[in-house]
Amino acid sequence: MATKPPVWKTQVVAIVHQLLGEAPDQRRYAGANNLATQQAVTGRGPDSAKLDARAGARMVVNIPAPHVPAFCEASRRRDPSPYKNCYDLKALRLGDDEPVHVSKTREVVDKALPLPRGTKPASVYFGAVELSGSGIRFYGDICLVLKADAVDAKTVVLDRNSYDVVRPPVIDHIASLPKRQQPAARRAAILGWSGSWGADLGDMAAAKVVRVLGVGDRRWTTGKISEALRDDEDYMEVLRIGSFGTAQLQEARIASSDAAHDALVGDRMRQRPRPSFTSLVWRNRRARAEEALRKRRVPVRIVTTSGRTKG
Amino acid sequence: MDAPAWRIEVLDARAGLAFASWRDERSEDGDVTPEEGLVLFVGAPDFRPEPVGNLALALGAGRATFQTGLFVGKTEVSFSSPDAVAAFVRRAYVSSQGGDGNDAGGGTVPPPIPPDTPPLPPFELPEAQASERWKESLEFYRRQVRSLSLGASKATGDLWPDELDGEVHDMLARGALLVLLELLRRVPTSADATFVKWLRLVRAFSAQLGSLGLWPILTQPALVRVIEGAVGAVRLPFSVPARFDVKARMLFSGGPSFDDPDGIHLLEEIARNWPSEILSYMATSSTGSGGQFEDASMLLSELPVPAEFRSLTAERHFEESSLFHFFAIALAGPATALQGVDHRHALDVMLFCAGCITARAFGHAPYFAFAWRNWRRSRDATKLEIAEATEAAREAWDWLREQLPEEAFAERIEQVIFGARNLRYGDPPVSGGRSGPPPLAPTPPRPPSSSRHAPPTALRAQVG
Repeated sequence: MATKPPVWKTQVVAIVHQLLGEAPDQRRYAGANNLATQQAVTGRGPDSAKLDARAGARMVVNIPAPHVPAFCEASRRRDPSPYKNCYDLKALRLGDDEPVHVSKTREVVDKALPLPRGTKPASVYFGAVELSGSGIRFYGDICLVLKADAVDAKTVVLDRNSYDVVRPPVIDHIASLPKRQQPAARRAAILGWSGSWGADLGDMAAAKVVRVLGVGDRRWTTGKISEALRDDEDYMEVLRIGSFGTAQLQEARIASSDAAHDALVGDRMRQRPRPSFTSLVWRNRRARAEEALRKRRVPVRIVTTSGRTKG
Repeated sequence: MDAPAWRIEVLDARAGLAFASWRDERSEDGDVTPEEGLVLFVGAPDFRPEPVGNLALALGAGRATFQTGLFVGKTEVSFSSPDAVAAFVRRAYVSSQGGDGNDAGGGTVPPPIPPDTPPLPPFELPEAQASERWKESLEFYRRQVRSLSLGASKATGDLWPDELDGEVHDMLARGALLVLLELLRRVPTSADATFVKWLRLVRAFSAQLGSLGLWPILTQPALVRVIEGAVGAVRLPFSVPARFDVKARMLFSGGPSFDDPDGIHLLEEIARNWPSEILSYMATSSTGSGGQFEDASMLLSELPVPAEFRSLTAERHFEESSLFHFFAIALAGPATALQGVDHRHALDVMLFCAGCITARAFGHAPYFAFAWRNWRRSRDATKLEIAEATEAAREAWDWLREQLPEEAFAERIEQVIFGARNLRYGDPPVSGGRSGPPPLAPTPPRPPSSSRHAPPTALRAQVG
């Protein structure tokens, strides 16, 4: 049971050892590839120890296009929380209010997060680690990318979704314990997934990427590293304390598949068959979102292929 | 506790995103246990349910814009199938469009009603024959909604008719006319950029009427009098010493600047002395600036909703409600949204909105040329002109019926869908307006029938 965060450098070595088994000749490739991951994530060139502020992984959040104009407007009028978490959003609920017990699962997970003492859940804004992709599409079609200096070095990062603690297989073990021991077990489990943005991100990323890509005698490309870092819906979670506005954004990204759909809707407006009303609404809102972001001087870029961002 | 069903784990209705799983109601400690691991994601713009492997992904969405669960009172709403979940999320998404802009502004909105604008004089709108099929379908849909229990739904199948009965070109024209009157009412009082913007919109709208073949219908004697009354009441921020038809041409087509008396005088001289046929052709080469809207949704976002439907849209500044807002709400839940309003006028305006989307040669038709001639001569539309507008109306309906609800839900759920127009990213709204969804009442009795061959009766209306 974890009582402190792992030493991630040791973790990477252990994973490589485990994967290689009786093929030690590939160890050098594994080492080079892991180094490449660390360099890409921390913003260093292939043969350089120098940090490049333009490169490196970023915290991202995905927000649906319909909310973007309000986020931008809140940033403009210096709202204390332009980007909102579930505690900030009172008027985005359809139907009647949820009964109290509904949010219990969230409370259970919140209590297990390895946050600085006294941090209230309402002040935590969750994001993901992203290199050059467009984030988690399930959560929204506009990926907001925070500037490198907008995330404090002490910010807690998890190597997975914190809700994994209430899902199998972790929950199976925790549920087998006496009730009074369960909160500590949850805290220990999440602590074992945690590190800090400044000190551990490179090694945490290397540990994740090597698990996804495995080992071999080929060098990984940056695109492959980027894809593996946020592999479909499998992401590394960032627990940022405090909201942010457009001033803290480096850029916004949209997925090429969405851009293609956008273009198809426009094309169908000129030809036949005419697009559905939902497609028109979707496209209209995305145009409004881009307009609002650009007014706030946030560049909007398209991720053209996996792990590659174009303007 | 209810039997297993499809239930919402997390939902961002305004974004059209949801996760649902097949399970029992939540336990008192908030636990959800999907049976057989079935968790689905539904998302805009295609709303096709797709499986996801890990419920943690859904729960994580609840950290930001997604609400947890969907409740009516203390009951967790259930759905009978993934298709029903998708239909609900899609319709709530469309309905929420009816409130766009109410938390941020942004984008373009219709021209405001200038302060102290008097209502337009009462006008007589010849009553076009209403569509019996539309009325029957709407009533059947409402009966179905009232008969469904919470959690039940019914596919609408072929409920919405393949074709509308009645004079569809008249319906399309009447819808356009209602919008036109609202637009004319909003003429800015100052001679500045706001006037230029308004004028550009009027001409874009006029171009749209041309694309739909509606000018010959609108300039028939019965309707042109209504437009003349409205145009005559328009208080332009200029003194325009021009004949009425010249003024109308400048408004709807183009010509000299409104603050260019010499140019206006020249145009009037031409109008007085030249044969109208030549003028018609001249007009085709001077189509103003009507074609600037590449996307019909942008045009609909700028056109104002007629006053009688304004209260349907979100609790915001009603004057900023656009046709796009109205159309979204009407399409998402016609049973609830159109309760208490004139269903014939509602269909007319919906048909016109659909026509803007399906019109051929969008914004490029020689739209006002022959209309001007008609105006000067005041004649009935020819058979071919009626056929053109009829075809436009049919194409509009073909598209429109595909956008109507594919699944009917219980009344309470239909009201929840209607309520999506008030969703906001931020604080709750503070302005007034129609706060709650209206209950479904029996459809009011139909006004005196006007059969296909009966002489049109006058429907008195007033814009204000």
